[in-house]
Amino acid sequence: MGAETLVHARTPDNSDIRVVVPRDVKFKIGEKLHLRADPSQTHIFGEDGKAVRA
Amino acid sequence: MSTIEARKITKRFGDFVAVRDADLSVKAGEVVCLLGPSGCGKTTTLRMIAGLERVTSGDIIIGGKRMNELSPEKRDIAMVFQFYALYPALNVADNIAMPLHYEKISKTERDRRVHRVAEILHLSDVLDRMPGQVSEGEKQRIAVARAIVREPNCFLFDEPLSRLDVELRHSMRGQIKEVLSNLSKATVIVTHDQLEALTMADRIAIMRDGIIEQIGTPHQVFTKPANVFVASFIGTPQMNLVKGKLEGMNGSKAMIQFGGEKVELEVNPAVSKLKPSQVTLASGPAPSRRSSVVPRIRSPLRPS
Repeated sequence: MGAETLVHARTPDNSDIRVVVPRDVKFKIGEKLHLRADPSQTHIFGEDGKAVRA
Repeated sequence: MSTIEARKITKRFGDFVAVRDADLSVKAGEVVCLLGPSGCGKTTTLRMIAGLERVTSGDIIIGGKRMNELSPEKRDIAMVFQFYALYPALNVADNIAMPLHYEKISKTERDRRVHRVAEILHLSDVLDRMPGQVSEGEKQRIAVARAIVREPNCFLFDEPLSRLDVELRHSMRGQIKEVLSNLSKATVIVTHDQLEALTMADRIAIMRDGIIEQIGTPHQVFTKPANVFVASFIGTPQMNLVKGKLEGMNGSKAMIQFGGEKVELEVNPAVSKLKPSQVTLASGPAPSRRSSVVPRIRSPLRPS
């Protein structure tokens, strides 16, 4: 319906994730996806839950 | 001087700690939103600033003066509540003028102030109506008009837009922000609506379990979340949070194991100081607009 599609997916260890894709990208339920994380938009948190920053 | 400061304020109800060591500083002309899930202590923090709750420890400073022992009416603040609390038997003009009845000013001056704020908030045409004869949006604006008519030192808003429908809320955010930016007063707004906070606030204080987890501009909070909670709370759709195990570094890349699969991820240099341990990776759901710089990170996923 909109300009983008929100895909709900699950990682092999059962973490739920969401990915916004252009509306013309189609997936089937159960299909395996390959995703890449953009490091400029990715944060890493240590065991204590706090952000690890330079 | 219109400023609000909360210095290490704590509120206990028996054994329950509603707010713990909260530090907050709001400059003149600044709007700070307290944002967090229900029960996180944001309204209690606001009520302590207003004087509706006594602080268990810490100090409330308004306009440079310590306010701990002063009752709400002596703090020179105006508060707008979620339920507008309009007087049903008074017309709009008298509702707006109500705070002025306790001040020694002439009727002429009172009328002048009422008409001025009515003009600012586009209420001039409904001044003679009763509260039951105006729309929800107008009721909300009457509540704001009643707060600003007295020209107080600072403003406190408790979920001011939560009773409005989505469309009205959207337009009211802009109108209130515009009014506040012209008044140059310190303002604290409590909300659980992050869109409200992101659009109205100069800075956001994100609270959880009585603790302020992070204070920053909307951009800072969104792009540099201080911890996993803030990352999980900010953003629509929510950021993706995936737990993994940091196994080591390969130059500037971290080797992280996710669900039996190893990936390499370009990370900031500080990650190299971590010992191999559990980490959480947060990444926004939006697609990258710079796909050419995306490293070789591949994780097999199944749509659920």
